[in-house]
Amino acid sequence: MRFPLIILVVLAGFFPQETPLEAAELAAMPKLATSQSAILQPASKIPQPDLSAIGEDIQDWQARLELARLLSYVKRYDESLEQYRKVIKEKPALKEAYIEMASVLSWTGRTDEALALLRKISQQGLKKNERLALADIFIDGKDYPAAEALLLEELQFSPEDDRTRLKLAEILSWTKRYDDSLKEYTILLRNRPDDVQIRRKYAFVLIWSGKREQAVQELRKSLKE
Amino acid sequence: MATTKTRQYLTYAVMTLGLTVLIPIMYHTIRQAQVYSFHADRMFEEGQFEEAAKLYSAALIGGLDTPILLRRLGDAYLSSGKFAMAVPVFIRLLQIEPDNQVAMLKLAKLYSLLNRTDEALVLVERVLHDHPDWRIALIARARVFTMASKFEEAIRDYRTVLHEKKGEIK
Repeated sequence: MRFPLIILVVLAGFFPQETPLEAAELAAMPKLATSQSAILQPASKIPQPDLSAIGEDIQDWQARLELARLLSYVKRYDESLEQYRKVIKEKPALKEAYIEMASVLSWTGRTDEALALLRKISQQGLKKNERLALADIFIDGKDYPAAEALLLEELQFSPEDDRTRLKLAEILSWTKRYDDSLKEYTILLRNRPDDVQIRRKYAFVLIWSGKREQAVQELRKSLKE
Repeated sequence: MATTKTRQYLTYAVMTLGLTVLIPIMYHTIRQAQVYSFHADRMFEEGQFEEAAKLYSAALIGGLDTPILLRRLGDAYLSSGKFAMAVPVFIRLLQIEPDNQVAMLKLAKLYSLLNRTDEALVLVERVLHDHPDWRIALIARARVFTMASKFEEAIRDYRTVLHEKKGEIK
């Protein structure tokens, strides 16, 4: 049991500290995972149509927005972007259209365009899903301070949102603010003491911050679990 | 000693007072369903849908089985997220008003929210059979298709509503 643990610690030491530690990387580790992390599972993106009052007229822009979402869901990104452009032209103050369009741009690797688009809107008064989508785009564009600000704002509203806290913890570790990151991981592990994946992420941050003894303990715990 | 006139006035006064108390009590007792419905309307207009639904239900149990009440009760359940409760209400409404297209679309919406998309599609298709170009019904069908993961069909309906052909952006 000790041998694979040492290998893991050594391997972790070689990881570039800026590299986001993805769930997939952990899953690829030598069959250590014994349980899944609920908050590491991707959130469902299936488009939920706006089921507003039936019988009332539905504006073109609403139908177009639903179409744009659907097209992005089926990965017809160019068509989706065209529809988002039309929506924005018709409703230039509709923040959700900008954010969703920026998300599509970000998924297609056009993060610069996504960030440029987001500069056109105010980040005041965003809804939860908008704030989180925006944070994801900023993360994709490696604008970590902007993402951090949004995630912190979100945690003020929903301190129990572990998915958001995990993102924040990761960002803090990528920007080498290990102590701050470890604080967030400590809260996460207090909420989810049996989450092996989070404990391993925590252990890696401990390694990067030079706390190898503690990291070994955490990794051992994760193996037991 | 009171005069006859004074006694007469006193009797009138007592009777008037008695009636002002008795009439509302009698109205509440005899027309209880209407009273519930009246209060439910106020709750509904204030956006207190759960309370409204309870009162409409009480009115319905009290015998007020009118289309207006059923519509309001169904909408109150729908707005408070009690989808399963709303289904029998709209079914009853459609028994009374079989050609009520909006009720059909609302029931279709409920079915799709309850993952009964096949039943939802049957209803929407029935509406579209009578009104093939009604954009509200086309969008309703697109939404049901989306909920049923029939994305290509949904996209086709949205494009029809937006007067677009595939690949052509208006």
